[in-house]
Amino acid sequence: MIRDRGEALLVGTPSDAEISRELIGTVYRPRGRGFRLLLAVALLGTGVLFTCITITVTVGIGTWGNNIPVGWAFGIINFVWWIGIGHAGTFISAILYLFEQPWRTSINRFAEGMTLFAVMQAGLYPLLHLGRPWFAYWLIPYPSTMGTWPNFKSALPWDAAAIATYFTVSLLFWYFGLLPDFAACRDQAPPEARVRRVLYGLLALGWRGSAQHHRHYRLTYGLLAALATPLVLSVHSIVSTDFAITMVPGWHSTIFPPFFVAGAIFSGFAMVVTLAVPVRRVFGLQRVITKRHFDAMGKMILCTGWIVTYSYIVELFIAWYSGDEAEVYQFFIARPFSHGSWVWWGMMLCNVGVTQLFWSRRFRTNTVLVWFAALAINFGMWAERYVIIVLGLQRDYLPSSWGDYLPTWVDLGLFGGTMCFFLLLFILFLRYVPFIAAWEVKELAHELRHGHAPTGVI
Amino acid sequence: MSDRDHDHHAETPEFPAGVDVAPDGIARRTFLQLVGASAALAASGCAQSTPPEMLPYHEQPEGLVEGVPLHYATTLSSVDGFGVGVVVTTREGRPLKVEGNPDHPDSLGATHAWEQAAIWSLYDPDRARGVARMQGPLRVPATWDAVTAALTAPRSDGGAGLRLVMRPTTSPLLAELLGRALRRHPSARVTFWSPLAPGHARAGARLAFGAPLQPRYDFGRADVIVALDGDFLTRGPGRIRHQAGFAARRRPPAMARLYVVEPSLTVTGGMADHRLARPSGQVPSIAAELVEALLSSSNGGAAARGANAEALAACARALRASAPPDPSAGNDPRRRAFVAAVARDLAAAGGRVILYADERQPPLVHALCHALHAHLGAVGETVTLHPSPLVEDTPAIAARALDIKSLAGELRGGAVDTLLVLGGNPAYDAPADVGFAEAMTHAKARVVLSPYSDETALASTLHVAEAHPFESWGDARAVDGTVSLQQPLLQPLDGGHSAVELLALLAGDAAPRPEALLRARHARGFAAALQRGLLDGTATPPTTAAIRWSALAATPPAPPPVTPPPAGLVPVEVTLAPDASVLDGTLANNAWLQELPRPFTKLTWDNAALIGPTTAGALGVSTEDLIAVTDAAGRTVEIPALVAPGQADGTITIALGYGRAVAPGIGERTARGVGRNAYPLLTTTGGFLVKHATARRVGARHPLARTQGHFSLEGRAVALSTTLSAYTARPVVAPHLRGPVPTLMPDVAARDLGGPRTNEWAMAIDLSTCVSCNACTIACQAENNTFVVGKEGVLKGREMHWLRIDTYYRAPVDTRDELERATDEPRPIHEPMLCQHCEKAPCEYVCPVNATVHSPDGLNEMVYNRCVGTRFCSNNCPYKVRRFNWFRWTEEVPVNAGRISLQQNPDVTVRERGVMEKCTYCVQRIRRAEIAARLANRPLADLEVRTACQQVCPSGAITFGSLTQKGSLVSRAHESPRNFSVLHELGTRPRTQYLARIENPTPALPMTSSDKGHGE
Repeated sequence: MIRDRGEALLVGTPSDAEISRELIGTVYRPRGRGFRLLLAVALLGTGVLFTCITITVTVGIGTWGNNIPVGWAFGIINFVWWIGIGHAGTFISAILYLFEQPWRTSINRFAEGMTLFAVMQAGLYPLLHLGRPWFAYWLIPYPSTMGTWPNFKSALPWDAAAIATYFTVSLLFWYFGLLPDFAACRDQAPPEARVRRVLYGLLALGWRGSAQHHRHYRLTYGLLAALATPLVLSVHSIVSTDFAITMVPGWHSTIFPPFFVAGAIFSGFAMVVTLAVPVRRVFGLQRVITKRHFDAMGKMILCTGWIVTYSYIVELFIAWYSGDEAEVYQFFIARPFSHGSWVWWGMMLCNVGVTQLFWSRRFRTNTVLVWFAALAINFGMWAERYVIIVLGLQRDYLPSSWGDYLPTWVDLGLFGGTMCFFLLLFILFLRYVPFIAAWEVKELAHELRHGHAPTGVI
Repeated sequence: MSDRDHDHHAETPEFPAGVDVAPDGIARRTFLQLVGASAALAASGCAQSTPPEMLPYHEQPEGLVEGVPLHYATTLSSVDGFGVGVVVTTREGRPLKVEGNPDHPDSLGATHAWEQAAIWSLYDPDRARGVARMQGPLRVPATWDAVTAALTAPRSDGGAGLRLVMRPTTSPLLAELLGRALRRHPSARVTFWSPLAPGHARAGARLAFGAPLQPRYDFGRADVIVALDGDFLTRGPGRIRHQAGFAARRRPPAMARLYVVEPSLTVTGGMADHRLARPSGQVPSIAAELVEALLSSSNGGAAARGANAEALAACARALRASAPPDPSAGNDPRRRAFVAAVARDLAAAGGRVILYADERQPPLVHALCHALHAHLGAVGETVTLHPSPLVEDTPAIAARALDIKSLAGELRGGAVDTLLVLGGNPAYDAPADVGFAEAMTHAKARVVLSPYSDETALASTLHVAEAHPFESWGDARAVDGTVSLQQPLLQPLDGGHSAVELLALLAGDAAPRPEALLRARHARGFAAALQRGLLDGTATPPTTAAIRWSALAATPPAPPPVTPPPAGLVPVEVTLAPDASVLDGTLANNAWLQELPRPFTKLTWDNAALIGPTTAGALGVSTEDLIAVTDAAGRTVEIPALVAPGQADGTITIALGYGRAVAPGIGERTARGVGRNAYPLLTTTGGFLVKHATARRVGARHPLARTQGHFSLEGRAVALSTTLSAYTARPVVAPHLRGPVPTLMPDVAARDLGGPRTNEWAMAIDLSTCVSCNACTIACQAENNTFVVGKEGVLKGREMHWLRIDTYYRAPVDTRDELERATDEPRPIHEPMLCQHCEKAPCEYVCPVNATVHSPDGLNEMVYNRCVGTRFCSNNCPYKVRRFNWFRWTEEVPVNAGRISLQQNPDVTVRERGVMEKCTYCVQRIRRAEIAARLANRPLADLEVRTACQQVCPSGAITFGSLTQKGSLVSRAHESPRNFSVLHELGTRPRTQYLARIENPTPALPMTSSDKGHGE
């Protein structure tokens, strides 16, 4: 048995009723001004997003800043960034579940929600960045009457398949995990909320919490977790092959799959922290989401951050060791010194520099500092994708074709717009869905109360 | 009619004998009228043109098979008046594409960019329509009768109040009509005006020979070429032939050596074995030093015959005296060594030399070149002298000629009541001290023939839209006097008229029929000449005129020009130059030419002040800074600076032809607002050379749209070069950049592709002979329906050219900020870059939808219909030759949607928004030739398929063909020791391969370390 060195996973010994009031009750609390303000901002930003999408589709991809040689830019950067963020949810829910990490309990639900919404944002970009988005379905292997198939040698059809699979499994996993809590919502509905009671009842699929239910539920949840686990590794590995299979200096690299997966989990945890800190404060969840959770997430950030840092070092070393003049130029001159190189310095500062703060336990458990650090890492991981994609393409083989990239207002509108769309989905989720797995917290409380100390604590 | 590409139909069983034989004589003309090409018809009352309509044929015109292109031989006149024979492809009555006429002595089957772009001007939507009376800027439609009345009316003053302005021309028909008109109006005078031909070359010939003889150079025979501020490859009469001859001598082993002195990198300067960047104003004294070195050297001295030597020395003294004091001359070791090396080579060349100067140089330099040719024995060897084909040199007309400054004086004096401007735009491009725009308003009646509502047209009282050369009859002479005919290919789209008609009216012919006039002028062999494009036997034999040594010896030293002290500002010498694309502004409205990257600067849609790095440092300016350039008289031009390697210190070069100031809504919409007008700096006294100018930073900036931003090779073996001696010692230039690449994968060639392979298409491009004249880029654009993207598009890096010419400077430069720190000796190398048709194409495996695939005959094919536009292929193309349709270009850049769509090649798909495109190796030409060969049941012959870029190249730098044909030119080129693949180490196995550039520097001049090339 491992000694629990950290702070408590649960402060106090709340009863099931208390937990229900605290965690399930959120969906029936009155909506305040803050919520309406945030909703207005999110709706406005979502409007900008759909305006920019309309412009992109009707006028053309030329409204973006992309050019030759920078054929991919904001579209793919944002895609990879959002997909990366979407990794933490499934990692927390599935992998930590299989490893029986009790600290996942309080944060898994909204991490999964975050995953789902992030993947939705991510999924927009590969569609929009096409020259002819209305033919996107050609990437799907379907038996066409013309006998044409996608090119299975290309990474992109796999990419499309991976994202679609990931989204589907994440949705299923998230929804399945919600069943007992939807039932709790149904059961706790105040008399005046009849419509919602019916809706939650439908969503609960007849969950009554019987032992039989629990037995089946456990089995299925474990199977789904086992199914989702390889996806955490495969999705970003496949995304990384969009780059790794090419000959572009700075892309052509075999370390990309693990490098990208680590980066994804790194940025995903940073995003979980970014969201958890305000949610914890607004909803007063200090009892359920404790410093212990931030401590654990900080360790994950430190660990994955170091895999990312190690990858940077390996990239630099291999570039030098290869002796390839295009690679050497790319890593030692283009990235640190050419047009847009401030992004590279920003990436290094945030991903390598800021990460080192997480060595300190006091830092990890200071929610304010951790929140700012997480923001910096979010930026740093966006910057990393910018560095790989834009700085990579700006300086490739023939110096004559080198070119620079600047985004347009449509690029910025789409990026900001997806953030607002994400925010919109997330605050609706916070309002209408139990965003902390109450039944799991109850289970944890029981275990703690009865001295079944959880195993596998980090 | 000349159906050149379809001779092979002759033995085809499917085609009855004679179907491909063009009907001649009457039948052909009947056809022309049916297709709608009669200027005569237009002249007889069709002043109001009908809008162009696309109608199905009511009756099938004889000799026309729909879908089969027809080819017509005709002529395009250059701005200097000399003709270039061309063959125009038409489809169903629409001219589509210009090729050179192989029979024409000044085309030899090739053209330059301007001839290619002529087709755009034909369909230019901004062309003026019909005849109009001008009321201020308002064009009030008028009838042809108004013109007839204005010009045919008898004059009581014998023409004393009648003045004509014409562009320089060599047309025998115009000469005859002008002669008749001048005889009818015995007191009328004529002015020949082009800002590009101030007549220094002719004045030089007059100094040397007593007559304005036209030299004709044979660069193919010259061992030593010295260009004294003279760009013979793209400027002046015979430019295309010069390039062909020069290219023939840039291939090892028998290479010529080229020395160039010039202020600013020109196409010729870029090819130099040794180049001295010095101000234009120093060139006369350098020429003088050269003569002195030649006379004093033992070799040249021995050859010197007493009187000649004396005359040459006198010339040199005169030149020295005329040149401004040059403090640096005595202390310029590079210049001394350069002159000594040139003198040594000239003396040793046994007469196989050419010295060439441009119009920017004073007449005495031209005279000196003639004298040196005679002295060194080049006359008859590399230079022949012909009577000047220019109309203005005809004695009867020369006697009635008036220079433009005198004309302006007469206009202001009120002596002129009728001014007839037959082409050209003097209100815009006349020298600043002439003030022509203002002067011309003094004439009561101002009849202007011009294709646009340009500055001169707006100042007219009666504006006649000028017909395009493809819409009108005419003729022109080549440098050797060969007459080629110009025939209409379609009815004037905008009811235009030609100078022939107006001059005929002036000569008293009330209803001129240009065709009849031309037929009467060239009665013998007219029909055959229309077929072939030129009249046999019209070349003039070379004259045997001798240099007038005594007259030369008596050349009085011209007084040195006065030097006004510069007032505290950085003094610079400004050289004005015709723009590489729009020339003097005549072609400013041509979108293809505007978007054509100018050689070296790769600038589009603008002109700029080219400044050397040192001078830029002294002025504190960098590229895109606006600077104010002020001449000694205080005339100022504000223009963005462009720091250009190879620019001589203390000089600024500005291209003419920009800054058109026509009001919005009328005139040339494409040209409006593009660039800055440098004509205010052009004066009759200074010419192209503005000495004692000053420049200062204004403070504002102006973005410049350039298609290339990095010119350093970064040490990469991408564009190879070596010297002739190194190449001779060890021929295989780059053994590591050719041949098979080690691979673990099975050999592509060994795969069973189902059936025998017919052809393996491939290309070879010779970097030794590519001079970056840009003809290929625009030929490709014309052939393949490539859209223009405008300045905004170029600024964003979205130009659509399938073929670009990369220029690298081989001199070591700073990596991060290379342009600003380049030396004045940048040692450029040009590399045309287009789809390499890689055997293992990186674009193919990354395409998610199989939209880019390989054909069995080795083409990398683009399936536009299947493309969804991920741009993954472009990212993975190491050559970055793929182009993407970011917009529906016809909407984004409206000029693409206009009448120019009539030009589009029906054999080539017009690409829609969102799809990728790139060079296809002109697959439409391949398939057409293959079909023809299959019908004839014979194999394709080598060179039967010629790509558009290959066909147009005056250098013959591009070879295309099949590798499976043993002995084909391309397979031999691929086996050449000079052959290499770009980025060979990536294992893409490109089918387009390159031949390393070989240079022939003299051992007498020190070699820099980078001269050694990449061979080792």
